[in-house]
Amino acid sequence: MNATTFNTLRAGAIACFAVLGLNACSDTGEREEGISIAIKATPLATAHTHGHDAADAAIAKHSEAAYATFRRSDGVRIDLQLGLLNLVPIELEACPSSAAARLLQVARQLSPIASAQAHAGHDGEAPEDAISVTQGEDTDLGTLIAAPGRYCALIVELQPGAAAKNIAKHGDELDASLAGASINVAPCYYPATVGLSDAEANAATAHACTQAKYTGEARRVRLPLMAPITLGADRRAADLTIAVRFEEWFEGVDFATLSGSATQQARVADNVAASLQLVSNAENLVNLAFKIEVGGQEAKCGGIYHGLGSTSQALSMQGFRFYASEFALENAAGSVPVTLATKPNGTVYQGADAGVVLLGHAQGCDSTVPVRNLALTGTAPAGEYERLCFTLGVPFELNHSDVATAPTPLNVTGLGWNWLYGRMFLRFDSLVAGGGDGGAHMEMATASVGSKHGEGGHEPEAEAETPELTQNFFVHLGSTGCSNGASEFGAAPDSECVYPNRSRICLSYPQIAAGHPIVADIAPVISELDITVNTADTAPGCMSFPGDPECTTIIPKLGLDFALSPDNLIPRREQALFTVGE
Amino acid sequence: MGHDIGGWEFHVNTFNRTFGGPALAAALLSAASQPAMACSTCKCGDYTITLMGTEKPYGGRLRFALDYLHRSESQGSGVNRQETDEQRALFGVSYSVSEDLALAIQVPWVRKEIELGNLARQEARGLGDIDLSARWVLYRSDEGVSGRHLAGLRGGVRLPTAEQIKDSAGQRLDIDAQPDAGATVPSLGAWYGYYRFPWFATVSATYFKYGEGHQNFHGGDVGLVSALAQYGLTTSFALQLGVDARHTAKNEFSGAADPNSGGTLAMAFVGVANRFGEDFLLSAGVQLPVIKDLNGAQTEDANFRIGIAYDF
Repeated sequence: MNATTFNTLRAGAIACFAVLGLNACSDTGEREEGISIAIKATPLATAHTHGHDAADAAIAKHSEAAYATFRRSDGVRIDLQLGLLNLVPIELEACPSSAAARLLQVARQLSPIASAQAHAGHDGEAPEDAISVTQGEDTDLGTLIAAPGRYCALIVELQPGAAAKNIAKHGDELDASLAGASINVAPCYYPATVGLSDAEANAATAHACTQAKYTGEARRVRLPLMAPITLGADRRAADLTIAVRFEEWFEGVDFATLSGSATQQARVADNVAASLQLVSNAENLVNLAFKIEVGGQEAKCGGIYHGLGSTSQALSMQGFRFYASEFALENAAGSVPVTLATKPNGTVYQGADAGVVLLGHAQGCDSTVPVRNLALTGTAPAGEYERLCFTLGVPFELNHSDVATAPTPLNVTGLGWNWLYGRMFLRFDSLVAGGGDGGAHMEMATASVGSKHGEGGHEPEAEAETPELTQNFFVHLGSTGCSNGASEFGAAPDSECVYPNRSRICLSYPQIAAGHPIVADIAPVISELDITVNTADTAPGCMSFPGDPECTTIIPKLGLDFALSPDNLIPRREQALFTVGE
Repeated sequence: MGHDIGGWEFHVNTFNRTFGGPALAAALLSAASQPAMACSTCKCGDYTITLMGTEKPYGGRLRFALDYLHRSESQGSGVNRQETDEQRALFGVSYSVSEDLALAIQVPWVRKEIELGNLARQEARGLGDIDLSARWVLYRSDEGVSGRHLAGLRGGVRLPTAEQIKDSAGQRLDIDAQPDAGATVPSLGAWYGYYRFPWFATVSATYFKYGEGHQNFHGGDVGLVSALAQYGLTTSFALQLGVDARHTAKNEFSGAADPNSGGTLAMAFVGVANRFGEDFLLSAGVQLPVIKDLNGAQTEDANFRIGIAYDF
């Protein structure tokens, strides 16, 4: 064998080994999903039990078309025929940097991988389907990808959208296009329903319909997360839901000029932006409905109710409102706070440490701009909870602030006693018969109730003869025994008042989560008092002042001790104001 | 998207033409200049230099070569930034039909990993596109044993042999993660060599014309010029300095141009080469970007290479 042949064989052997070696390395591939956030939108109506879920519940069926029926804060009934939004997720917003986070940010800038912000998977394109709140269905808004980091908010944009086919409603064809518009609404409104009860408003027929679009420039909206989400190698997926509280869209809007007024359309856009509430999959959406009642009937300004108090008297309701704060959900593991979502009607305050809502006839019955606030939403850490708890009242830190400069709803002058005593936590105003003729009315009212509702029933506007109701009867709850050392009302107390009078209310949450309303009924609270009789030289009814005999049965039934005298403390009883309704 | 580019290649090796000794050393050293590292996926530079050798060819030479390349690059910004890390082993065989014609085949085995700003990651291991190439000597000066100045043409074709790698779920990986584009890429260029020990210099220019590859990916055509100077400290050890420049058209996906691709890049090369015995050659070097005029958001990191060759 010569050298050339030997070398050739040697080369051939090496080549064979090399080829065999390559073949041994079979083709393989691996894939690891990155960080992504799925985003959807869901219409959110006031909690209700008559549907499969809260959104469905608000959709009344008129013929073949679906309408979302609700009432505005001023009481105007609205049938929303069409409510379309073109909402586009833009990016996740990183939390503000702490010193350590800034170092991390520098490291990320040096790193070729990390980024402080996420970007829209659609790269700014509108989603294929617009959000239709009247359909009551969730809308998939796509997916964002994000770099590892800690995120505190989602940035979305209301963007002009694309055309869509028209939808026939109310016998006419509605323009359901979003071409060049980010919002398209078509409400029918019932102007004469202001001040009516829900039943009366539902029976109303006189209405007008209008349609409007918002065609302004894209509007960017920041939706904060209640709790920041941290995304990284350990957590690569998250789900975000944008709850669209469409019942708030028409607050302060003049329906008569809406179709042609850019100002009114911009107001709708403002309200739409404010109605968006972000909930992560690490959170529960808390959706609460309230009712205010007198003896089982809706508390309507000026409504007359019978069979109340220990002597079954009549009263004319002149206002029913209350502050609630420190909402929390509880289970065997403990308690978690509920972060409240603010509303365009200014009835919710959510600060860094505390949230306060004003419920009921927020501005009183004598207001030229009535505000009827009976819904509240918020978020809480995800979990199964047994109780919803809240405080009837305003936290001490907020209670004694200056009404003139306090944020809404703490600036409602009708609920401010003075700087020293703070706010009225509960204000129920009424007129009753005066002059010690309660016994005669008791018989009349009892007969009336029995004929209408049977046991325990109460009826506004009873057909029976109603006595003249001219005497004030109040139930005002607030802190007493407050001192600032100077005996002046124009300064905050030095410390917590002797009688804070903040009642902690806890109710069954599973029922509430299923859509049952929280009912505040004054009747059980005053059931042991002759409301037509008032002790001389004391406040009419019960205004929380120690020593007032009319408070001896009322304050304990709000779950609070009452000091009839320094040596006579009447112990609290189970609160009787709030129940979970049907 | 950082992808395959072909291109003009210009390669210069300084070389004192004597078989064995300085000549072999020069061949080794020139191999270390591997300008492919300007974009090894794109095989920028003379990726056959280890295999073909830079010494004056002689008839009947059979060479095996194995190159290992490591490179990284990135495209895009923010969360859309994509980082590519690639390791490429090139196994090749060349044969000199005569002193004026050499033929070669190179089989790449590739591990490629891409990671996005959101930590999404894909990794592929597999066969890349096989290269067939040839080099002709068309001019040989009369000086020296077989000429001090040599020049000629070079050309070849890359074959679409790369398989499309799938993940464990059977889903095809993105084209960015595939070992190669799966495209047919003809190339044509010219080269010149100056051989006078201890100096050796070479310049080459090559143009790569890209065809359509997998997943509707169409790499941009590339022109590449490379120059290398080598100084032999001994007959078996030499230092190398070089520069490689490439200009690339933008890549296209389904006819849409990728804004973060293409542009002009120049890289400096520093390397060493050593010969062990008569037949075994080892070279290594690093390539550093010095001029970047790339489109969109792109970065090209330093590249590393090591190569061995064995002659029979």
